[in-house]
Amino acid sequence: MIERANRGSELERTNRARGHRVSAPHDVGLIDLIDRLLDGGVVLAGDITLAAADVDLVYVGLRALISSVATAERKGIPLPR
Amino acid sequence: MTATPAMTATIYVYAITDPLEPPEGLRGLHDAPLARIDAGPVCAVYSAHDQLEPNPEPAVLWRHDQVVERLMEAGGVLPLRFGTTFGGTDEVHSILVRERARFERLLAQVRGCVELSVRVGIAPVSEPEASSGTAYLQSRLRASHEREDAAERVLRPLRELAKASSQRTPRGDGAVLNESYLVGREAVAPFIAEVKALQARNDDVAVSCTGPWGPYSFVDEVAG
Repeated sequence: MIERANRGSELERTNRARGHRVSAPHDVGLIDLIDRLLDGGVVLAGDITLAAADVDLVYVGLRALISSVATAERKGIPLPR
Repeated sequence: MTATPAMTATIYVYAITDPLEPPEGLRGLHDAPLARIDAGPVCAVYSAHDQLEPNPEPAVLWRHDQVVERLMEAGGVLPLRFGTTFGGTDEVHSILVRERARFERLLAQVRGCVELSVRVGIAPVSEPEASSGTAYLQSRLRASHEREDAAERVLRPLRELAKASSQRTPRGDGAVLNESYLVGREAVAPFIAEVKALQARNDDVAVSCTGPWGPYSFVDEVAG
């Protein structure tokens, strides 16, 4: 699911990167996006379509990505500016 | 900007905002037009859908975020958690009326500010061969303190440039710390300059910074 959507979102990711992303690879931006939209923000009394279990699934899909970023950061691999 | 969606529509809400016009040409999920529910000084920006199951795929998440980001150019914005839907606009209106005071306080807190996210990756501290269980635990504890010190060297100066900060619970082994900052728009450039300076001064950590984001991590009321 994540990989399919990744391709579809290339344009928006590129747009976002231009002038906005400060100093991080795209992947970090995606993790930050997910952290904010699925775990932050105002919670109103409406229907939240995603159950907590669904949110966990999103992270599972990203686990490899997250750990690869974490590894890169741990090893001090320079991040794009 | 008023819309009269069909009775069966799903109302997807992006944000609580100051009274502001959604920018021309800005579209919501599935390119749906945006509309506004007014309740005096607080509004909600939404799109109406015949059928909507908002899956958290990156393209959809980016769109929600893009709406929030563009709205922020026009006024104060409280982003909603992704996937918040209602059966009708009247439900949203009654929440705006009921929670008006709280939303006004929160809007005052974040107006003119953006959120920046900083991750600090900390180099693993080499663990000497421990001769005993106690020595092993002591070396682990020392390693953990060294990590905290390294992170604090980076995070403390950044907190001073921000109006508020919020640390996220670290994932996994805690080798990467993530903190969010509420920063006035005018302070974004100095903040980024400080991130770069801190990275240059601290070669034992890797610092990354993303943003500006909507104030997703600052929608709870700050005491005092």
